[in-house]
Amino acid sequence: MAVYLVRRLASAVLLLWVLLSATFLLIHLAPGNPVDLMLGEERVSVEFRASEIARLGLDAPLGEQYLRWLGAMVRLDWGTAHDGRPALGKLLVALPATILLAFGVVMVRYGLGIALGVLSAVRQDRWQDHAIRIVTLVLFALPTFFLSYLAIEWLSVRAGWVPTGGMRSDQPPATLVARALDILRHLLLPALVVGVSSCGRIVRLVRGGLLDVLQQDYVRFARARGLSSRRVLWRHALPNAIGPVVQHLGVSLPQLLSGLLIVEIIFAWPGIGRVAFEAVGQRDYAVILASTSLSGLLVVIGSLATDWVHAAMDPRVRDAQA
Amino acid sequence: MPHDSLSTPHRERPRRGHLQARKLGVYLLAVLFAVLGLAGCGGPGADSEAPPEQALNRTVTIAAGALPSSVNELIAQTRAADTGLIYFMLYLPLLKENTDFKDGPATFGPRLAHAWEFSDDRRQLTFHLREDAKWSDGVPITADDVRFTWEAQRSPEVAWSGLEMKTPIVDVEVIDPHTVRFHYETPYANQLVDAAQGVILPKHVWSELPFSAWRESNLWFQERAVSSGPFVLERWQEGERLVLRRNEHYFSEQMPAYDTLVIRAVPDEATRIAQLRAGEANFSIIEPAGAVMVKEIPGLELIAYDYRQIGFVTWNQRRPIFQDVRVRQALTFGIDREAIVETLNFGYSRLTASPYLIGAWVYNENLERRPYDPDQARALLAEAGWRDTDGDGVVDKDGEPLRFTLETNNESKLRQNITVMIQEQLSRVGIDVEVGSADFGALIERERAGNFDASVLGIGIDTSWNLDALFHSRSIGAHSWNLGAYRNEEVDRLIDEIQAVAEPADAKPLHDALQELIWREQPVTILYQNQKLVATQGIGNVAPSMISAWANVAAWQLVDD
Amino acid sequence: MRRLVHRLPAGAPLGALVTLVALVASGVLAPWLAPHPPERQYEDGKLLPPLSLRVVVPLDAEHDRLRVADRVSAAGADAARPGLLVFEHRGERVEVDTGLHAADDLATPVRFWLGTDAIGRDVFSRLLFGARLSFSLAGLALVMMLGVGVLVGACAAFGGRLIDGLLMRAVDGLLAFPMFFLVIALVAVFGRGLGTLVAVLGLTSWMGLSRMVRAELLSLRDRDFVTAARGLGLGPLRILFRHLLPHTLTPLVIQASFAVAGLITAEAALSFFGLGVEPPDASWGNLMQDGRIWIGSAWWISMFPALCLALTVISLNVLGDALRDYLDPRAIRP
Repeated sequence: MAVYLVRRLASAVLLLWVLLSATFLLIHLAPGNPVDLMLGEERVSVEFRASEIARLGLDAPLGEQYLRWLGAMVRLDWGTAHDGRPALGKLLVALPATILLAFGVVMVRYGLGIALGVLSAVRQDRWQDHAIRIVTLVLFALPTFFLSYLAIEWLSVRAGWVPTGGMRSDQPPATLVARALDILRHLLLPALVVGVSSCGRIVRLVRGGLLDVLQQDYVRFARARGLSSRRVLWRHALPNAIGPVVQHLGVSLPQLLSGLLIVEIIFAWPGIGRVAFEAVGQRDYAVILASTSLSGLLVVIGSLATDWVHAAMDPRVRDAQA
Repeated sequence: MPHDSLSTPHRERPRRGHLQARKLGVYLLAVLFAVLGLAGCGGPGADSEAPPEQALNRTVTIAAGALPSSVNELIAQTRAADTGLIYFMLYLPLLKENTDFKDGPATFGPRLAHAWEFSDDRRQLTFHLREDAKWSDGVPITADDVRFTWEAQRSPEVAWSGLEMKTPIVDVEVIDPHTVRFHYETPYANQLVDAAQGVILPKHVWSELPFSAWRESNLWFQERAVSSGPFVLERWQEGERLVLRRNEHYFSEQMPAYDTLVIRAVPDEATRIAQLRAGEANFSIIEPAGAVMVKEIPGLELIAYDYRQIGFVTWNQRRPIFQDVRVRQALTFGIDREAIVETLNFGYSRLTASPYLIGAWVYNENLERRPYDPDQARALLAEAGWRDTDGDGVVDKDGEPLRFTLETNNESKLRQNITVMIQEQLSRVGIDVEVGSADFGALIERERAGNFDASVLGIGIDTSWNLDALFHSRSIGAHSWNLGAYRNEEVDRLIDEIQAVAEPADAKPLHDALQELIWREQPVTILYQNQKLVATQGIGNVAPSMISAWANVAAWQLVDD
Repeated sequence: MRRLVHRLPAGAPLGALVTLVALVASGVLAPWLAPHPPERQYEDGKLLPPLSLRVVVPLDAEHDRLRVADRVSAAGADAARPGLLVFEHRGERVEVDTGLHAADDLATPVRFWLGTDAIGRDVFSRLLFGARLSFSLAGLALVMMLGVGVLVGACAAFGGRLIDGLLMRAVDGLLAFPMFFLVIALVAVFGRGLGTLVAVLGLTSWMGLSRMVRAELLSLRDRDFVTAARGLGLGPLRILFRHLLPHTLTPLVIQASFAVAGLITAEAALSFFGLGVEPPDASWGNLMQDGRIWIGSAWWISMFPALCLALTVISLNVLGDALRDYLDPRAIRP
């Protein structure tokens, strides 16, 4: 397991280096410079502009800038953002929010996906099956941002059930439990939108897996032993059909992070996607590079974690990795 | 790329499980609560603090695009963005510049200083500070703070963007705790303006940090934002909101009529409007497209206000075609500026022909605006020798067709639309325009190198009424804004004379003459002066100014329902 | 073989194909089908609901200035002023002297089938032109993606163990990377011309394809016909292009149908960030983006492009599934 872990991490770091270097060179080679963007259409003195360029280290030759940046990365120094905060610090403040949102999405996506998948399998080829298939396909086909605005309009502005955005209320409730509930209330809408729009694939995985498992001998045997079909389904068939679903979680993490970027902006969710997006707008190189590496690392960690869960659930996988 | 499809190409074999699904569920729930806990206490100076003692029942909420970059004016990123102006809510300047520029040169009202006078030779300016002014921690505000502020403003290590305004001030002398004297080398027009620029900083707290560390210490200031203005900073939740509370030590009789001001970061405009509609926010800056909608929603009020920015077309006079003044005039006649404002800006801009702000005292009222007149344009072109001799619909001269590229920065959808509209309008007078766009930084760099034909850009107009950067021949190239390399000795002379006049009001005839000259010469075609828009819900007495959308935030009134 | 798949209703693939062909055709034929120029703004015709019937009145000979009215009540009635038009608009009576002759001929009734947007542009026409742009963008990006994907896949399959290992590790890594961050950064920095969009979308989405191409080629490499061709002394490139790649065509087509759906959605997502196709050109993405604030009132601005996009994605998915069922019986799927 340890060797496996090290190898995975090493190759991830190597790849990250290549990608980041490419990103670094591309954004620095692009015409224009962030100082002019920052100053915008304000008239400032020549000296100030020059001093800002020097402050951001943009006056050195590109090769030197690259080496300086690489050296800093090796020392785990992620640079300073334009506004004078450490780039990593900016992202780390935002990290819990992103993890929380990802968690909410995963809960909705897999909870709903598994439930509907089971229903689909049990009601194979009946109207429920078809209805689930059509609805999930339509939800999948509509862009997330469009669904988000629909949700805000109908569930929030018109119905007033949940807040339109943000992660918590302006005035934090007094008790810890109330605070957690407050956050959950804010989490509901964005998690629902992303979760619902992407649960179709889970439905299909679960449905296919279940139909397959239900044909197998041990399930038939359990049935023959007189176990109720509900018990057979939930205790015997489902746990065996769920492996691909866990695997899917690992594979879909990059897409999950990309999807979160959009809802973080729409729902004013204070996550790293928003920090990264603002940085892109200001061409804040340090933050762009730091967020690229951080999201890459997150994905690696996330897929390692799902591998671990998968292995814990299935001894054959565990043995293969050892 | 989000490259999902609903199907999987190859089916995974089902695996037999050992870990019960229920166990997994319990584990996942545990992680959820751990993360909830983490998120709940995240952020510096966040929830760990005890909630304020008295009940907060009157709150005004601003939905802003982004949070300000810093509480410290000197290291805040830009002076332009409205959201950057948080320090005006927290800190007071010596004098308040009256934002009404209609009647004459900038006038000042008392703020931290209640009186001020020049010495006879105008080389010394003495301020008398209010004796009842206190920082929010109860420490009196004194002349030491004023001197400290000047030191910080001038420090090359702090590198404030407004540093050049303070260079003529050679010394700030502390006479007694409530008297401070500014020393100048020579008298000049903007002495008082320059002295009054910038808010006064708390020396007793901020002097602990050496200037060399200021730029990198944004968080440090956040945690020590001892303030003098109408509000104190209660909480700064990065990426989420600022919570400001009324400053009980604020000396003014005009206390805010509410306890708490929340500035919330809501990056998407559609969500901001939704928050207004849902009653979650009271105030938001919006774009013209959103205004069309806001107007139709009962309960929401739309306020349009003049903004200190003009949009203009630069004709690059390094190109021979633009060197003929008749061609430049023809171009102006050929552009339907009224249609641009009406259709593209939703009417939220004002037509103008002057590079000064409309209605300001320097603005030349007698300046005629050239109307849209394609016939006049064609006549002027013909006069300059441009005629359509080959019948292809494009005028030509010496076998060369009148053809150029009109560019703008691609961040602005509005300006891109303007270039397309101008292209279409000028085609009617026989000018073949190609449109293009580039990243703002890239475009500016190229234009300063002289490598473009024409461009649509905007520029912020400040109240020093100095057109040096736009039209003076010394501002050609390098880092300034005379992008079209316009060169006219008379214009140079007028700009220099205006700056040399000691009493600003006396320069009015010179300003008028300068505007006349530029209007005749058309080195650029001025399209409009921008307006900006805010939408409000449940609050009254909102009066945005050219400086900031929330200029009078302390005077806002909650409308009781 | 037990058939566990959803059996598609017999008509579904055909329906999907017809829908898709109709959508593509409407894009291709947009300049001929569109009742209005897509960028024309009818000053008085803002936010008209679907099916509105209005009269379009030109105010000058070049048709540069147009007004729309509910109906024309008098045209050319005054002999002295033949260009005089009297019309009613939103309950108001308006008199305009167009200065043109035979004003009655110029006032033509026009239907706005899907309504107009906030600045008075015809939604239906913009939708057609949007289809044109969205499909061409996705098509071009697909070509680029296929090119890179096949190239990398072929190199991995025939380049020997070292190259194969390197390329496939890289592909694994790239697949595990949230590319969207990179895409946004690149588009923001390099501008959003059509070329940039195609390049960035194409170059960040080929990984799954190359992996599949490699697997297909490896499975074909030692088949008899390849050995025979090699025995005949044919060069490797010739074998690749004449004998191997045609055999991968089926899975490629299937993958491509899913890929196009992904690319169209990706453009829409970029539009959300204001990084999609540049205005005033219309793509489905930026039409939805323009209409997003109106979703609760003038719903037609964003709803129709969203429906078109959803129809396209669904059709492509159904088609892909059907193709797999009929053309590629080896693949079993849940």
